[in-house]
Amino acid sequence: MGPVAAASFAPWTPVWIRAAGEPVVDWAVIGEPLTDPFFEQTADRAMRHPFNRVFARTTPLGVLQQFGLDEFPLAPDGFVFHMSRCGSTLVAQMLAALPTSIVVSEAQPLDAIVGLYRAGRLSEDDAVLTLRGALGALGRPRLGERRLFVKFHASHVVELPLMARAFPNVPWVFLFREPRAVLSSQAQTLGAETFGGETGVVPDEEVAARAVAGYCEAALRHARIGRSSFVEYARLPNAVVDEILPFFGVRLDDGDRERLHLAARRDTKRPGEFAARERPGPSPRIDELAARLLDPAYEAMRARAAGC
Amino acid sequence: MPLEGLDRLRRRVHDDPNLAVRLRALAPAELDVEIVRVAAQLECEVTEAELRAVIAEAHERWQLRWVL
Repeated sequence: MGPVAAASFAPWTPVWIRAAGEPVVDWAVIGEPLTDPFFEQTADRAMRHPFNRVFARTTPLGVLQQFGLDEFPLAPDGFVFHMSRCGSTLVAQMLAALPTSIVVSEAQPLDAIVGLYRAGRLSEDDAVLTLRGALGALGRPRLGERRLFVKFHASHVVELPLMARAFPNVPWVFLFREPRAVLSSQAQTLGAETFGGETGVVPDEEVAARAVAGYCEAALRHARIGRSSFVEYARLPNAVVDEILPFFGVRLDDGDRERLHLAARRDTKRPGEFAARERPGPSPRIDELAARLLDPAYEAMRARAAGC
Repeated sequence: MPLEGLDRLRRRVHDDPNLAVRLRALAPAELDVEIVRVAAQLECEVTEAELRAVIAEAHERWQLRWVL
């Protein structure tokens, strides 16, 4: 792509990748900062605007590979991986509360690229280039932001070597939580991260537990790739200020502590409500699954978090 | 040919970031009229009926994004 054509994409954001046939990218002019808990909420609102209904552009996936890295002002400053149901959305929302930050939270285009790579429809080299183009375009400053963070889908930690190749030297955190709490949450409402699009199998409690265990084991296996930090749910939200932001090299500006405090009090998945919902204790089945599949990884992650 | 004018207008909008940003900033209620006016200015004939049809088609395409 020549420089003029690349410049024409400046206001456009890749909002969706359709991969049923030859992969194509849908682009929209979003017109607002990325402050929703999940990117898809922003994308959906944008695509409902009549402008994007008339003018949204669709390109081959390969267009994402043709951007030069120097066409994007921001390189990622930190990655957030997680085991699901462990405060990752809270962390993303706190990072997004900083006016200097962009947070790309579980964006479908990144997930689609990972899916194409897993399916063998993108080579590793092409996946690297495509991820760079997609994240560069997703993370363009819209209000003068200076930092870019990415919260990935839970399963993406399995592809951490690919991410590290696409974005070398980006520090990453892995968020984790006591397994019985995670599995109890999954049992209440199964997430996409444990079935369907991500694992391709019919969900049940054991499948969910195996998926979550796989994410934790991948994080431990990849812990030596780049700079990593394991952060436990029990330390949130304070760990955002005390551990995660310093780890990502962020110094707080005036007013940031108050912004973070306010963001921490919101229930990230239920706007207008506040956190701290009561949960029942784990069922015997969940207790058994956690003990059999997740407790060893949990203890290893706690040891890492404690610096052992 | 149907949509020829709209297709040409789309290309102009895609090639001109400033025009894209300006149109995106309009309130939805103002957009149809402004698109028709800009199209006429750029000699790309577009009717409000064409716009309504395109908007309906785009709505369906987005609703079905999981399976397309």
